[in-house]
Amino acid sequence: MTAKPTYNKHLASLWAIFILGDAVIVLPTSNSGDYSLLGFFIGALAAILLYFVSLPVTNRFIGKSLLLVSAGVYAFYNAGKAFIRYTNFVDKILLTEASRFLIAALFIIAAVYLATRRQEVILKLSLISVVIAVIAILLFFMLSFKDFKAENIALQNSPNFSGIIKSAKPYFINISLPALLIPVYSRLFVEGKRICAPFAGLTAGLALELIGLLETLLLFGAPLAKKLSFPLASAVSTVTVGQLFTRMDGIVYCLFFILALIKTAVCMKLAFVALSRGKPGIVPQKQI
Amino acid sequence: MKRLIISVLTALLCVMLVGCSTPVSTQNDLRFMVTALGFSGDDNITLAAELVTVNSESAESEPHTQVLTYTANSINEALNGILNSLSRPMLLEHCGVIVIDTALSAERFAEICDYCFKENRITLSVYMIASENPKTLLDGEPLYSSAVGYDIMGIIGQKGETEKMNFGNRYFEIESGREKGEAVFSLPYFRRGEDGVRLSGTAFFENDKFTHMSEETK
Repeated sequence: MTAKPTYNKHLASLWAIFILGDAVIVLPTSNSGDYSLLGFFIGALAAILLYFVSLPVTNRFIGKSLLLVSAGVYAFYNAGKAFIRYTNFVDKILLTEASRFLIAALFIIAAVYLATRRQEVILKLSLISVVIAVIAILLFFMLSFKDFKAENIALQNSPNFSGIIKSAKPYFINISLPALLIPVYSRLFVEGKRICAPFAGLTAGLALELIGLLETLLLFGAPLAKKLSFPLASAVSTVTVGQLFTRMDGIVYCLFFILALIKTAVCMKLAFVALSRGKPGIVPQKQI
Repeated sequence: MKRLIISVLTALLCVMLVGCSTPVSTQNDLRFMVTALGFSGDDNITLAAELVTVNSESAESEPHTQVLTYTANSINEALNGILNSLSRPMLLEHCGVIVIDTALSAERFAEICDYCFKENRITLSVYMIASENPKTLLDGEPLYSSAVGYDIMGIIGQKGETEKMNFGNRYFEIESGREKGEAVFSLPYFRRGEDGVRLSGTAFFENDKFTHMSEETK
């Protein structure tokens, strides 16, 4: 008799990918303020706090339609945001001459296909993707190291309260708030009360996001980084290895695709299940 | 049935991924690669583009290098002017060097930086250099590579490797300093001599305007 797989590593990978998602494509955004790094740390702390606060709330009210409908609507909004950001990236950088409709249609088809597969498919894809994400992000960080300027992240003057709030806002919206969906997804699709695997995934996602952000800030400095539409892609475009490898951006383009695809598919799946079960008295069924 | 659909779709994709189609393969597939852009002028901007013409359909034909210039009110107009004299679009993705005329005004320099920022085809790591006449600098026989722009890149790269010199003159380095409000920056200064292009000093800029030159390379 074989033991039932726990999928803990897969779940951790899923949440790491989910947190990176579309955030890694656009952060720091143009409204990031002058203290991007400080803003990120506040956002990361808020993500962990929100995760732990939302756990008991979700466990208690998972059968209530208000929670399911709210989670469903928010998941749907996140799916749309990831989809729009990725297609915008493809339209502006990758396939500038291709039809926007075609790009959008292909992405939607892929996301819907993935969302309608069994949950194990998304989990296995996440496990593979997280390995690619770790290798790509660490590799480009090391390759850019020679061009880093420490003064780019040094605080020139002591931050004021409104400046910190302004800097933390984009991170709160793009990293902290999506963490609220983790307990809802876990309750709807995962058997048992698993806390460690999602938490490990959340922290791994935040750590990877931090490395990507550090690369961008150390290379460009906050003022230039937030002017760029796709800061990490721009940072990677400056990397050259000898005379042979002068454009290595392709690796990160693939990563962006897989991150956006998984986040969109997970949010679609969650939105569909949460909204269709947003009626009192219906107990959701676990898949793993 | 499922396997059949996947097989058909894969076969279709393979056919669609083939790069050549009949009209292209029967013609000469010329590509105009921009290797360097030079900016000069004040009231009107003069753009000098060094182009390497490659025929990807004919392996025997040697790449041909030429410098085209056009004067217009704006950078985009000047680029369009050059583009209109070519039979195919220019590939700006291969541009390795931006040459700044030392006589250029601060407003024009800022316009060039804005253009490089907005033009996604120009890489952020393009080298910026200064010269007293970009057209004359680029308009000559390349010695070490297929284009003068690539010769200049080679010289900068070699100085970095052998003498551990970091000019900090890639576009993103200059732009990062400007965005942080740093008023002073420097660019390597190139001249054309009898033996091709050579690095002959450092040009200093303050508030986007050339101020003075040093014969030493920092």
